[in-house]
Amino acid sequence: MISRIVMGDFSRKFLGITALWVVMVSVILGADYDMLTDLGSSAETISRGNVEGFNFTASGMFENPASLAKIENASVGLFMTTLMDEAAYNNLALATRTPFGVIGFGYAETSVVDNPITAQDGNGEYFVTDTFDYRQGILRAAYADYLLPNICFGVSFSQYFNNFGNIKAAGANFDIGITFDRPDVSLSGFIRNFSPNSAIAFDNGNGTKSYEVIPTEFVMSGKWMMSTSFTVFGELTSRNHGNLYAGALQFSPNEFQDLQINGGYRQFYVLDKIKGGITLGVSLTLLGVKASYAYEKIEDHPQYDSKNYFSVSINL
Amino acid sequence: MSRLSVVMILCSGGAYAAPQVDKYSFLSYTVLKPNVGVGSLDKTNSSDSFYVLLAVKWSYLLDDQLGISSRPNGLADTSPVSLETRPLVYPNPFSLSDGAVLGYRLSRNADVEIRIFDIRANQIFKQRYDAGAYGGIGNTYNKLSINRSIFGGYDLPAGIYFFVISSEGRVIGKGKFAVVPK
Repeated sequence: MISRIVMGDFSRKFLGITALWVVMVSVILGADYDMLTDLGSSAETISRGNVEGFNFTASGMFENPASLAKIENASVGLFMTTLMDEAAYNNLALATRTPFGVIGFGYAETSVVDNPITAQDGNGEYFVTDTFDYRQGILRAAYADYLLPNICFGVSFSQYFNNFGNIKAAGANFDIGITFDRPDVSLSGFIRNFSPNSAIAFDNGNGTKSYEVIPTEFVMSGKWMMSTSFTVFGELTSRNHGNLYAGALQFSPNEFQDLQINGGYRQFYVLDKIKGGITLGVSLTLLGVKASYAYEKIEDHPQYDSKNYFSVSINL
Repeated sequence: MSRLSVVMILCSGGAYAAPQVDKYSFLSYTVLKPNVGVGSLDKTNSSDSFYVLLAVKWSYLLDDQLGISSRPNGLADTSPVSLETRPLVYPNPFSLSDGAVLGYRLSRNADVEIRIFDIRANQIFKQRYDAGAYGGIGNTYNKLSINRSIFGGYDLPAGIYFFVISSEGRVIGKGKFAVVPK
């Protein structure tokens, strides 16, 4: 009788908190902050349709933080690309195993330099008065460890920032994730930006502030080793707009398992519409160093027809 | 407004070259040679005289509004189109709810296509402007509004965006602008 009453109270409180959380997520208005992680955080992951959660290097902290737990000693990851000869993306991640689990630190950034500040002359035509450099970045700290031999848990804290010359923006949030491993099947689930009412605050340099919402995402993915040569990946990402799907096939020759050839498909938002595209790539591991390349087609640009991504990681 | 004119050009002394004109200006031409008939020339006899009758349809003759009246022969300018000023957005940076204007000056009337891309090279806007109409006027500073309505009412997240101006199958200018929240 007493336990039923206690359970009844607990159930009501749990449901109440969950309902409040759902309402908080659903009533968030305004433009969503543009997430740097939408591009992808490593060439290896991008080549697999950007299916996240199966990057077992330090760069994995930009995906499911629980994946860091798979690092045995230490890891370094580096990712770089430049789009349209203008937007430079880079990230660097470091992680090491301690007696208390794996800890990691990472920094990701995109930058565009020489953006014009303009004015109007007496004829109504425009000219450049000065320039500024744009920078958007994430500082991340992560922790992960095994809960059970086949279950890992991870959490990461992110500090977001933007610089538009004299306009500065900052915000913070955190991710939590879990992985589950069986001999042939692995599952990954994480919540990106777990706190649903978090925003980036833009200081406009004139005493005013404006805000953009940091979007919360639920990312669930799976990996199935069909054979020693073929592995299939799939992912569902849920954001307040809707659902995005991704999938990939990886081939690794039996005679040379250090070589992985990947082909994938990923969906992404362009404004409020969902678009999709093919990704291709290759990873090669030699002497503990994994070098990866990924290719993705650009649609509709009159000058550029592809994006090319590179990453290097070392697991010690 | 188009006008029909007839020009008769007489050449003698072995030259039969016609004036260099573009295909949009002429409907047809007829070569007349005494005692030979229409459409034939004795090319081996350099002393032959001949008559060239040209029927011309002038689409842009002496039309100030279309910007080619300064040309001495009134023919349409077919030189490659270019931008005479750097295309710029003013103000920059700006809030989409306040809006901004993309300004550029074309060397002549031309069909123009403008595309805008986000920082991940995804096209978010594309619009074509006809020669001589809004956005495609030569020798005039063209101004095109950038606001929420051109993106279907969507509020762009803060960041850098890139525009490309194309004409006649080639890129003639490009630039970038920054959007900040209101």
